[in-house]
Amino acid sequence: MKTMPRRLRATLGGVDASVSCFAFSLVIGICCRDWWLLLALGLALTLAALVYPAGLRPLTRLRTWVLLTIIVLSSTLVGDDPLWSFGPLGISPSGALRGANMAMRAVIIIVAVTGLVSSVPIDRIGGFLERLGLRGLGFAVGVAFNLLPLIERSLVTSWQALRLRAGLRRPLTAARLMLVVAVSDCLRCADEVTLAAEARAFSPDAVKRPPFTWRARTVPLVATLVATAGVLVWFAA
Amino acid sequence: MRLGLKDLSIVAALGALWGSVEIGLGSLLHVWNVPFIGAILGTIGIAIALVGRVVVPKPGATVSIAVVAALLKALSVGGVVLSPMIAIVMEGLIADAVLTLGGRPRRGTFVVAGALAVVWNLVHPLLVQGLIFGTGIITMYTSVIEKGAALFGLSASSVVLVFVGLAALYLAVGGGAGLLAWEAGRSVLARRAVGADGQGGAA
Repeated sequence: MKTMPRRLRATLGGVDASVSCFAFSLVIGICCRDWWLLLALGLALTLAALVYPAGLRPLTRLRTWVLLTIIVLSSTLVGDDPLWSFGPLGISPSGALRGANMAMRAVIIIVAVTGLVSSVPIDRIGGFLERLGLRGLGFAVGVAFNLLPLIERSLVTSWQALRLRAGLRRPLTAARLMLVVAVSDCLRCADEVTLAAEARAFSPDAVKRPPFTWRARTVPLVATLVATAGVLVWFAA
Repeated sequence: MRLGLKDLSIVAALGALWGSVEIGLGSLLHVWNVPFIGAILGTIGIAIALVGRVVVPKPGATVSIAVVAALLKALSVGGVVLSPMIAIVMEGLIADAVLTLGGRPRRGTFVVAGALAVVWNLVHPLLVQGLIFGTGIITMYTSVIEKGAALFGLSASSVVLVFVGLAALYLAVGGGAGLLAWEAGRSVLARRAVGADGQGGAA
């Protein structure tokens, strides 16, 4: 990405570009089949490398490849019209094709979703959810993030106190007690946060979130993606 | 849905509690390879969110707690974990819908909300895999079940029976979590009332 011209890098670096590439990848991943899906996979991976390289991270994990191999193998072994049979299992070309389709579609979707989530900051996601009606969520996420270490410490302390006082002998009572103590501790923290926020005249209504804007320089990219998706879907159908 | 500053602080604190259970206990259970991790974490989480609904009896409180927990789950070891995040939000959404449609807070609606939210963990993997791999995965699972059942000399309906049994177990555990949350929530409210009267601490 560092070797790209500056203008192109600026175009591909925005949230709007990430959202466009995500939508494009989803559409071609869902609508294309067989050889067209292979082409879609190539396009989606190239876009991911340019726009959100972090999206390719799942492909470096062994777990992802094990999962995909299991999908292709299982589909091949249990597919219809097997060429060779070994008891209940067989080698089915149509099953292998279906497995390959599933694996390619999965790679496209996993890369697109991971790329989008890694390239869009949490406060933008919070702002987006606020616009959907979850008012004050950005504030709540910020507070929760700061309270996390405090609450973890309090949970461990409560658990150890319960264990040392033989509270675990009756599991149901222990669960209820643990829940009450943990929630009460959280409410005490919440009361302190409320007091501090009120003392600073904070209001969740007054918080202004940066709006989601489409930049003019992204328009050619979006037009190209829409046209490419249209052609791919047309031929694939 | 309008939550005030105090309500939002409570939502944040309880979301952090659910999030810390998901991050801390979740990582531990993953390392130990414990089966039904989703159901275990979901049961604890939904119990926390339902106690939150007793304390903040407003529509949207439960789903807000779930959304905060889901966003914190993104901080888990191993990076972004999208499938559990979706599961957490869906559990919160289901519980919130049941409680909102149920009207006045009652023990029964909390039991139903907990049961339906936890049973989502049984459906969730199938739905997410269906979204990622397409409808082909359903065909493949059907073939695997039919051939596997034939191999062990079972009928395909016995596999369905296992699924129904699991669903009943999830419903029972979730209902228990709802009941526990209702009782715990009332205890918490009683403690806060005592604390507000100046007769004792809030915790």
